[in-house]
Amino acid sequence: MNTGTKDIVDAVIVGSGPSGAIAARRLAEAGLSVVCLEQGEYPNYTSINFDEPTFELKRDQVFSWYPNRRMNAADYPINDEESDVAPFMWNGVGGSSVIYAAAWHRFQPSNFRVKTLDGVGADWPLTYDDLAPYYARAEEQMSVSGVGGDPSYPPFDPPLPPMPMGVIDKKLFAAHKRLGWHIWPGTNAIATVKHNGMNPCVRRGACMAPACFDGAKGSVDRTHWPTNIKLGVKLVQRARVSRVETDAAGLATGVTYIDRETGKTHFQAGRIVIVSANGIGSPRILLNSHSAKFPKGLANSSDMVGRHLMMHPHGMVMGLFDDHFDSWQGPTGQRAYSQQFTETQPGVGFVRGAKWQLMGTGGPLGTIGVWPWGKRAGWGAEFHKTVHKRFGRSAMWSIIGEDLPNPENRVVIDPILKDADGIPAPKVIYRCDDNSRKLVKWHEEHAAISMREAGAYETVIAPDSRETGWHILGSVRMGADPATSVVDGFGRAHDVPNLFVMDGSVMPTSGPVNPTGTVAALALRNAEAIVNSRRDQKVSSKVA
Amino acid sequence: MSTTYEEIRAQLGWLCDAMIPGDSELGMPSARAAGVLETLLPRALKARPDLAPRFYEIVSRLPAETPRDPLAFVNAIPVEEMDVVGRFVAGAYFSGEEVSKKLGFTGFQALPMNPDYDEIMETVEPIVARGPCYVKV
Repeated sequence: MNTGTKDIVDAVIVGSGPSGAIAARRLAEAGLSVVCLEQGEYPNYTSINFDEPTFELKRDQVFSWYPNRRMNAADYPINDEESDVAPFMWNGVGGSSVIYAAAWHRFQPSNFRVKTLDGVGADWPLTYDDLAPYYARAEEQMSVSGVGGDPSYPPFDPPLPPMPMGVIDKKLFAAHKRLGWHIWPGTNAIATVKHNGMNPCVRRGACMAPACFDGAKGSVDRTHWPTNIKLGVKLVQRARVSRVETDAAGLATGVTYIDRETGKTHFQAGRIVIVSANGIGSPRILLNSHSAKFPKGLANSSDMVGRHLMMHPHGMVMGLFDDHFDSWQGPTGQRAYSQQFTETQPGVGFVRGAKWQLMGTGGPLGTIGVWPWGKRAGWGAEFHKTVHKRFGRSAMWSIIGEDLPNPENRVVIDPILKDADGIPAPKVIYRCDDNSRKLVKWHEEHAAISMREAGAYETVIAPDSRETGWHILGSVRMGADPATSVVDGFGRAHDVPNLFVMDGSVMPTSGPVNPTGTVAALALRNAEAIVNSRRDQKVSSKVA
Repeated sequence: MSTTYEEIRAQLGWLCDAMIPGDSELGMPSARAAGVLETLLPRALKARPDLAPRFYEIVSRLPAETPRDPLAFVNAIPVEEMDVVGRFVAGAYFSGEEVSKKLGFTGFQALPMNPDYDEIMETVEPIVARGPCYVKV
């Protein structure tokens, strides 16, 4: 083994996605020395051009959401044969914010208290009020736009003004006014004016395909890394971390990683280690970091590492309209959202709820497949008739349901599968439960009512699909009790006081909304706590 | 040895128009009339070298001579194979300028950021008027 040791730094961060980027910035601002190890590289936005006539054909080639299909150099294989949902992620600078839709949400206050309210899941060791100031700061950093005063939240104002309202938005607002249902203009991490080096959105609608070409979508390769590097953070690309190392006292000393360019193995020493590698990558690293002292994996005395994986049950309802409108233009994220049914409804046979986000339906090539349309466009004379109905005349409610944590839904280490560097790969075991199935069905039926009220002459409920794993949460659970959780309310491992986990994996419950807002706010809160308690921080004598 | 475009041209000759015939009612051209066979499909295949070999493999197994009922033949091809073929033929068809125009597809163009703030505030007014609708805990 070719091993080299790097200089000791205050903090080693594994992963350059939203949590890693936000934590790195806060720590560097406070004067800590920070190294961030990232297994991938900066996204190559020039590898595809929206202006090319073949854009729609090419859009999923390099930037596919599904790493098992994409298998770029930075990707690792995931055994998902025992999962009802295929997990999505982006491995590279910016993490999955590179490919996300940028629909931005806070949790509602109740999302932190579902055990108290409904007797399911777990209460968080923090409240909405604890997180609110960090939401506000993260929203500023991520250039979030929208309309303030949404009554489905305690009062807050997104920092940037909203997008214009389109034809379909107006139809749905009018419909919900008649129905007496909540609806609100979309909040998105998309700049609408020049802000912190970001450009205003031009509504090209290519946010997820592969990524924003116009420098408007708040992905952290753009919002954070240029600043982080100016602040002195060292970002090491093509550095795949295999394990977190510990000393005889059980304190973290740093991480071992493989330089993917040279194949050499290195040790990066750090006084603290922050793992921000997402809901699959983070438990994978902890489980692979087993040792004589930690035989079940690092920070895993509770046996909770990898358990309670949540991936948000998902539904889609399309409405078909008579008139032609710009349903392929942006913002992709959400033109509007409804939180009418995010709480448990009486007499429905399931608990918790879902948020609906109003989206367009994309370009013409997206109209011919079985998903989300229920049936293929068909060939012959049928082809034109179907494309005519779907393209430019349709809108979609995308339904994100709250996923109840189940310890049997989990990430484990596959006994055989390894990545290109020989590191044991993860296996995902995930089954949608009865609550999720009932929840999605009920919400689809009600979203169809909304579409019909808006004037849709026909509604289509998307068939079940495995490929909906945009949000990977819960697998390194946060909690106050070390017997039932891995990290405390500030992301600190109960078993290893200088090891932190910051990403969606720590969320004890999933909420019914896009999680990046909460992930970002948690990272900022946790980083701030590290800064404030740094004088009391326990570190290994090997790296003191 | 890999199949060339010329070697499957005969199959494509009947296949493309069977899949996408013209529609006079909607004013849409057939695949051939839109230029799929001559220019758009070769360009599409070049754009996705990762998927193109599978397309060649499937199409080369089809008869060179036009079947008696081409559409029935197309519909009898396994669905997963037609997904590959259809993605290229329809993708090529939609990439044509004339087709885009007839569909009203202006491309993924830059639009002005010109919100009407008065309209937005007027729209949300009744929602705000209903008062807070979150659960206080």
